[in-house]
Amino acid sequence: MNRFGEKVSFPAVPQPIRQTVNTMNTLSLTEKKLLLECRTRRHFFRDCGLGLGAMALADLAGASQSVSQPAKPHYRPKAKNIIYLFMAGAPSQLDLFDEKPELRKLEGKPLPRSVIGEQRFAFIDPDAGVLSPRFDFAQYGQSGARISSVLPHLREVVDDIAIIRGMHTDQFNHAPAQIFLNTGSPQLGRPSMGSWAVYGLGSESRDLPGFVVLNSGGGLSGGAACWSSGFMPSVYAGVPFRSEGDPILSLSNPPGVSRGLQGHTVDLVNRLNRMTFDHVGDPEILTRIENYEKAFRMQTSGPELADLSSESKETLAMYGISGNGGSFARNCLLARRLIERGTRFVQLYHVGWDHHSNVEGGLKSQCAQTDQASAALIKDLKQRGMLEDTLVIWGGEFGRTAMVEASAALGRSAGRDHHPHAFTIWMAGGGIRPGITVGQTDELGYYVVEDPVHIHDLQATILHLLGLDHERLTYRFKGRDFRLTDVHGKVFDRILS
Amino acid sequence: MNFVFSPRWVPWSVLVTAGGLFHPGFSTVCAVEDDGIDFQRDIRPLISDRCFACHGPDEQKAGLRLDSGDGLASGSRHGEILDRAAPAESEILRRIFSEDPDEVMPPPEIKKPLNEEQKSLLRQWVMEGARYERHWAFISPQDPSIPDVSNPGWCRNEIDFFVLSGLEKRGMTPSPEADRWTLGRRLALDLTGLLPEPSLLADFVADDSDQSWHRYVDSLLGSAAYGERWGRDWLDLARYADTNGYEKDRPRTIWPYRDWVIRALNHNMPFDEFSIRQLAGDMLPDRRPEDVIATGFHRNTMTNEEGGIDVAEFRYHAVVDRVKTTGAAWMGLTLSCAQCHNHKYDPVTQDEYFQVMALFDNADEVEMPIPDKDEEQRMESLRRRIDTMSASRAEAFGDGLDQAVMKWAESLVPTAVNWKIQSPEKLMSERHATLTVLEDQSVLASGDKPNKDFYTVSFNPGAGSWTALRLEVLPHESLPFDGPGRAHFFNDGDFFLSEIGVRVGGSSSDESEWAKVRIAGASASHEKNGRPVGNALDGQRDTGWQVGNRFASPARAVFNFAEPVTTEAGDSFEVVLDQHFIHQVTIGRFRLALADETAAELKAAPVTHEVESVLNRMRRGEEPDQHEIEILTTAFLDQAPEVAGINQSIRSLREQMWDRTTSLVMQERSEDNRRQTRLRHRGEFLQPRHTVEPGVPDFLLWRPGQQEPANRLEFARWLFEPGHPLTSRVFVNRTWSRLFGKGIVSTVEDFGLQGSMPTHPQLLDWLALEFESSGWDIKALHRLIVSSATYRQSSSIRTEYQNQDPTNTWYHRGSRFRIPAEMVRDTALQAAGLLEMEMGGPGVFPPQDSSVTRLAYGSPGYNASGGADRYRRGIYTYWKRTAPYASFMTFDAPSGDMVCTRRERSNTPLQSLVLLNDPVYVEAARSMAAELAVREFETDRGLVESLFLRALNRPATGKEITTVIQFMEDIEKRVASGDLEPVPLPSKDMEEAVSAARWTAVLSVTRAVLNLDEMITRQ
Repeated sequence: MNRFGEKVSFPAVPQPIRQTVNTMNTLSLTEKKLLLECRTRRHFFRDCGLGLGAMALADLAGASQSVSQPAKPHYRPKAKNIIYLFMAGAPSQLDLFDEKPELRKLEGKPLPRSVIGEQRFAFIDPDAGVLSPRFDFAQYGQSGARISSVLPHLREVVDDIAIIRGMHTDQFNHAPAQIFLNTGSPQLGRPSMGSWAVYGLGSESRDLPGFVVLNSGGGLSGGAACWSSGFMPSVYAGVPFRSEGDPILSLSNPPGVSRGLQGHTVDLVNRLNRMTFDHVGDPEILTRIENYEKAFRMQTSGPELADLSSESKETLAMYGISGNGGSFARNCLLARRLIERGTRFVQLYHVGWDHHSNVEGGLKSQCAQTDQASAALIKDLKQRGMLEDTLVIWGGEFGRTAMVEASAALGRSAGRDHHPHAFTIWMAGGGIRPGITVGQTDELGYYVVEDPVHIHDLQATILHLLGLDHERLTYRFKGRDFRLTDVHGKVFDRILS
Repeated sequence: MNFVFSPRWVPWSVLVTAGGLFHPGFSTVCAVEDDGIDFQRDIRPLISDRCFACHGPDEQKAGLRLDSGDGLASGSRHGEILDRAAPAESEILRRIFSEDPDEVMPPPEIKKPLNEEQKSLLRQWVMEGARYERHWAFISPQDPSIPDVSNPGWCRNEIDFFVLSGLEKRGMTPSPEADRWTLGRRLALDLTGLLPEPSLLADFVADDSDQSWHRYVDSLLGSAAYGERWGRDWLDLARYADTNGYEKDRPRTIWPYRDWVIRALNHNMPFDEFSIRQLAGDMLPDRRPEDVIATGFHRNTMTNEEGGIDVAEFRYHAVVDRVKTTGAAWMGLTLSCAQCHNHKYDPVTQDEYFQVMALFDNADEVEMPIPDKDEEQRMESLRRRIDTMSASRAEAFGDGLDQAVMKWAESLVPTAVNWKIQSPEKLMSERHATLTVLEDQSVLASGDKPNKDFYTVSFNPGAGSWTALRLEVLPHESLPFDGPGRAHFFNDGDFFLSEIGVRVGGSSSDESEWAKVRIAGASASHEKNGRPVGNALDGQRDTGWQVGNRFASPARAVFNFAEPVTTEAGDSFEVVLDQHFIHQVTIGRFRLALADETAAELKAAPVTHEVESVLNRMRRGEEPDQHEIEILTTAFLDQAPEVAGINQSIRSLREQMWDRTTSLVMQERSEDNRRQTRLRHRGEFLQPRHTVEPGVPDFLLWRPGQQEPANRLEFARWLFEPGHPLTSRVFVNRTWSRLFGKGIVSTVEDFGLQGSMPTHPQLLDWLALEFESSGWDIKALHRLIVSSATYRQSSSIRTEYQNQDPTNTWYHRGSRFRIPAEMVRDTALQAAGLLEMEMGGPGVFPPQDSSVTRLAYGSPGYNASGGADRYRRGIYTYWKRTAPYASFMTFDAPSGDMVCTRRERSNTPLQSLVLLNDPVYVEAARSMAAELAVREFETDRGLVESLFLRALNRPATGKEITTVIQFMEDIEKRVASGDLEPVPLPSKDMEEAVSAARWTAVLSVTRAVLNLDEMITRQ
């Protein structure tokens, strides 16, 4: 029965006509009638079609949205591609990168009220005691960067990266902060960084998307908004690659359909599309034809990309890849393979850094899953000569408090809460001065006191490295020229090579 | 006029151009087509974009304001910028044409230089006297005269005169009418979002009379599918979704609102009523439940349920979103630009922004049970079963019941206490929950529901010596799961009391007169495991008292004072309930009482206050009367171990009663509980400033002395007052954009100064006034537009106008564009005969890979619906905000996070993959192919014709038929020769009827046709 079994007293209207679902029996009668029509009536649509033979197809194709053609940057880019290792949940900078001996002295004591001010916290109270750093720090590499003992692999590439300890953000809850970092606004609806990159530069890949998203460790707080194209067309949206099965949704032929048959079918689609084009002349049809060809190619290039059997044993061992699971390590290698094939922006989300309890155990476990592969990615890119063209970024959405999080009701102890005022990321590759550590926080690691880098500054810097001026890369929506950096952002040039 | 330009500041190339403009007969390169400058079209967009950011509503650098004629005339603080006597010498022109980077306007750093053509336009404007006009969209629509055309015979209604006049002015001619097949499909897609019903199309094609046209259009407008098609369109504005958004993104129930929209559109509810109910249905004096469900429109905002959030902050963001959405959907205004500062372009101050916010700020967000006969019957039958079971409990005791009751009661009598219920004098919630005193002196919390809160209650017990305080937590039907707590998830119906504090003092607020009351110990009637009431006394805020999922059952805690507290008349007690947790676990309803008994340590009774009162009278030696015996009997049976099984069954029946369908709605707060709306500095939640009163921007009061709306209902009605410059224009324009692929104003969401100019301003006004005078009749508007000759044109591209009108701005042909995501799927299923037309109800889960939802927080799985629900129309697809139905996103469906006034129409390879390989489309193709393969056609030609008719609603052309037949033969040959692997037949029956080679061929051509560009295009 229709759920709208009427009981409302709106003005009466003609009895709704239900669109009956065709069955062969009823259809064939109607069809006969229709078929009679086709034979007796002049079919205007076909007979009056206007050929477009003289028109240049290239002109027409240009009329529709296509990102296959690389666009022009504003100035010479330092990096062509980006691999963003997004450590979702927010790793503790105080236990990994930002060494604060003072905190050991203050263990268990509350921070002075003058430091805390009126700040709101997600879970803890402002008078929570200090939790001392969980690991020892030591100096590594020629550059002498001091990092935590829980990152044994990163120390091997420490001279290739720039450590930025002065990051800060406006948001202290996961979903808004992740969306803010990715889109420049904590509210939804804006295009993500990868969308801006592809919008600004296009993609050089013929067979693969320009903006790819990989995921490990669990589901993401910010969800699909993190790689959304916002108010831009979906052609700029990030395409999630799946870690198991087909790398892209709907990449496999339907059950029982061979590649050969699929090819013939696509060919028929395009021959018929071409006939329509010859009649109606809409350039969108040409784009459609092109897209069917590209889709068909993707059906080969996608699985080829995901198939790691062509990689050497040494490479697999360097990343620490074993088995076929969707691990972070595997995604790092996929990221390199994507960049090799012309993808512009690869974003790896690794979920699992939200250590409200047992930050020590949590970091050990997360670093075990990510440290080796992150370092391997740098080494691998470097030895292939790809690092100079590729910008690699590692970091989370905010930092973690110097104060301990403990709650009997929530069963938490020895954790750290969300901290937006200071955190650390590192960057490497195209355009980045290697082997430096920049930015200082106060002795409690609470606020940035030297070389602060706001999220909008980071975004401006990333675009700058891609050869894009964040103030000129705009998209008109609702009467306003929107930017990734809203109305803020300054390129952070201290890390530029 | 004849001016001589000074070459000092005029580049020669510009001089020629400008000279040309001044002498129409001499025109060379011409920036404008008509004679002279049109301020609205040529000048304002230019100065708005380049100048207003610094010399506009927000900032007035150098004291100069260019967004009004007065501002222009008064100049800057350095003097006038126009020289009326010698316009060429005007300062404004000197600055525009200056080559000095420190002088030139706009300054280089804003990175928006003027090109030569634009500069010359501005010069011409100044030379012609710098005429200024009010922005077109802020003036009430004017009734335009119908223009003369040289070919009136082409025109079917007024629309066509406006359009044809525009074409003729540019020397263009309209296209011929599209053929009937194309029109039949176009109308069906546009009006119902579905393919035409075959018999209707047959009649339509066979008879090209006007009557046949009207019959066809009327049947489409009258079909139930109409409301679904236009409902989906409206839901884009409403940012409809079935989950809360943000990290947790838990499910919500608001589909009754979605169904209300569909029903209202099908009933052709006039647009004013349709709008007023959605904006303020809860405030209508004669409101019906449906009107309140309609307010779900603004409950589609997202809700953040992440653990460590400030709930009030995200409520603020929701109200911000309501303002933005209202602006975009009804007014075509980008109001949100004035959230952080005065609008940079439109005359909206930040104060006015917050005035509009105040209109929407005063509502509470509640859930309303929806009226539904089936549901009421179910509830009634549950109630009856509970009553019967309750009554049956007595049987377990036979004649011994009374005796058992009295024995039980007497065992409790010695510990009964004479509690004196205290009536609250002062009540405060630190985080602005609404606390209301009910008749029984209990306090009910409603409205804002923070994570953490302090309730402070003062009462005046009179003179006495007090030994203990009792806190009762009580159920209420307004609370989630009926209470007693306010938790609606994770701790269903529970609360968390971190600490309790008691003070006693005089009536003065002098702190020194208040003394803390020490509490020696506590007991509770119910405690959740690990959450004893002692937690409320331990000084630790991360521990607390909880009672567990009590579902509508009361509980009590008694706090014994360390020593008796003596009060005089007029002295006050103050009790602070400190609730410090996450996930909105505060107390929903409570009541306080004092005891003055000194006997022993008082305990929380295992029975309610009502029962304890009876026991207390028995303690004093009074005999219970009949009514009191009944009370005791019920209480006895509720706890008697002999009937524990029945009680358990009753409880599970009760739990079923909470499983009722509700919908999210708005509920205006009472006048005495009005929320104070504060302007937020820079729009930031943490920077509240002065209070603002409800209102609208001044420029939207178009009559002298016009009253500003003071609440949501008045605002909703104000939108429909005659002469409103925006409401009608915005709606007819958006409707036009759906039927032509673009609006008369292409920025359908922005009619402000940065919006596009209307291509046909007079047509827009005519339509707006026509719509208003029709009584806001939406179906009539649809009928009017689709009946025009403009609409009926063929959409084939005309090469001769490729340069002159490449984007079809002037409608020299019909429009051709890809259909929206839901239509792509609905029509494929429909062509295959799979589409299920069941309407309404909870969202359904068409098949998709579970990897889609795995990416969202918590990595939820995806259980595809079975049966008919797999094939329901797209509007019923369950919409999870953080992991939306993937194939719809691929076709540019909005995520539901924010208002969407127009969808993008991208064209991507991922779309091709969906149509080729997504299980929905594969299933459609297989189902359709299976029917075709077993049908007996005389020749393959018949098969191909049938396929084209069903999928594309037109006969196949000869060339197409030949191509497809050759393809089939080729495939069959290749399969036979082993060159191609055949597709296995789907069933045993089919195996007998059709060869694998044949099946492979038929399936392939079916898939091909369902993948055609034309299949997903409205042309």
